[in-house]
Amino acid sequence: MRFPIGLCTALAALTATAPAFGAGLTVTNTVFAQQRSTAPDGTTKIALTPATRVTPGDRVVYQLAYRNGGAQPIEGLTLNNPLPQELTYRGPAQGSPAPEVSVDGQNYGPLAALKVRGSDGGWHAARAEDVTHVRWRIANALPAGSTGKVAFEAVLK
Amino acid sequence: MKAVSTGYGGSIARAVALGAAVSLCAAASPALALGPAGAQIDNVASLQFAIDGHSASISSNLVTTRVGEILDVTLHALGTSTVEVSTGEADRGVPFLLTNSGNGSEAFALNATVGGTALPASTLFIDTDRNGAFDPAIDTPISACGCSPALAPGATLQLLVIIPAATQAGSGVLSLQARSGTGTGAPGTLFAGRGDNGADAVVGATGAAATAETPFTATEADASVVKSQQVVAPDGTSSPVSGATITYRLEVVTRSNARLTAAQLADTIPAGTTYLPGSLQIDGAALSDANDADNGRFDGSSILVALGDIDQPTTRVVTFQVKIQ
Repeated sequence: MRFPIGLCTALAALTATAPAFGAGLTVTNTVFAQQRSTAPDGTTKIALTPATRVTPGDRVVYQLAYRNGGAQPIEGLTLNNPLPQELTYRGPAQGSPAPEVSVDGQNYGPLAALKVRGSDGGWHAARAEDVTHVRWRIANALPAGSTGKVAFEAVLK
Repeated sequence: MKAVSTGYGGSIARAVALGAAVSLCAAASPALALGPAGAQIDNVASLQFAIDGHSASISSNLVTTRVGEILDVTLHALGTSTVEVSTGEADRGVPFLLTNSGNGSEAFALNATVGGTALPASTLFIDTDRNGAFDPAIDTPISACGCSPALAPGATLQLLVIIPAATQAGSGVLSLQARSGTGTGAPGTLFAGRGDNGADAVVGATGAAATAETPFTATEADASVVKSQQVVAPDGTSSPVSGATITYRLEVVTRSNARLTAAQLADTIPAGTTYLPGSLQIDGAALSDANDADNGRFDGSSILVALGDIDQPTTRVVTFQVKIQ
């Protein structure tokens, strides 16, 4: 896949930062397309490039980068990302802690613990394609001035 | 028994091949569930947190990604075996199935060749009733540009390529190519802004082009039937008015090495006419209408003449008369 020239400016427009009211917490949501290429030594190299356009089957990574810009520590930080319906969840992105996932937006847990009702009326083990929400609960307080990142991988249906 | 059909300069092979094609046309592809081209994917996250025991929440920025159009096409010959055709056959269609396997609405340019020679767009038809056989009253011609109508993602179109009547006896290959109207190229080739809703279009794994081939064998017709008619009105003119008599002449010609067993000629009396009893003749000799010792009969709707076994060049002429009601 090739990208048109001028993507850097497009990316800048995509990564506007949402201000938190008075708290100093900011979060930046960015989407990347995953490019797999085979290196000369035979290993597979994965590169992330800004995704302004994706096509079915493409792997994308959504990254949430957060920063406590205030003077107070932030506690109980929870990041919740409802999955756009055009995407199928694949898993945490490389280097990110695994999120809790949900198939109904209500109950969260590891995928293996979730069940979905099948067309036959019975309950079945949930699969990655059933995931509708992902959530990270940051266990420790986020000290003033510190940052963190979480990310998940999905495939365009 | 082989039946010789009338009303065409047609051949015996037709009925057999037609039956084979009909049984195949149920194989329609299921629709593909790809993200639609041009759709916008919006993603926003929410954050809940507490400072000094006070809860608050914020939303992230919105990120928007546009789904590009993948250009992909598949084309299959319907029926894998060799098509048998008779020389001079003017309306023999070979069926193909075109599938828009991309995720956008797309029209496809169609090119047919026979033995490497391009055929005009006028030889391409949409097999509207998907029966695998050409019917000029039902099937619609492809427009003069040689392009299909726009197909929705996953949609299929059954096509017919008419083998030229001038095809010489022998073996050949009929080839059909379909190319995405937006463009073709190596997978990944980009057509910026040319996809649905102004999205970018990207060539998919198929290269946005597909070709399918059907081998065929053209043989001299074993037998041909030429039908002609003569009208005589009560006033002596040839006007086809009520009360006029039509004399039908069926000339059956078999070729040099034809081997027909228990051949039978059948012709249905046209609607709006009445068979004239006792008018059936073969080579000038009368045949009775009853189902008896002679080779001809009228069964109430058709005349039937048994021609028997034929293993040498033969010409037989059958005549009968009807009256216009």
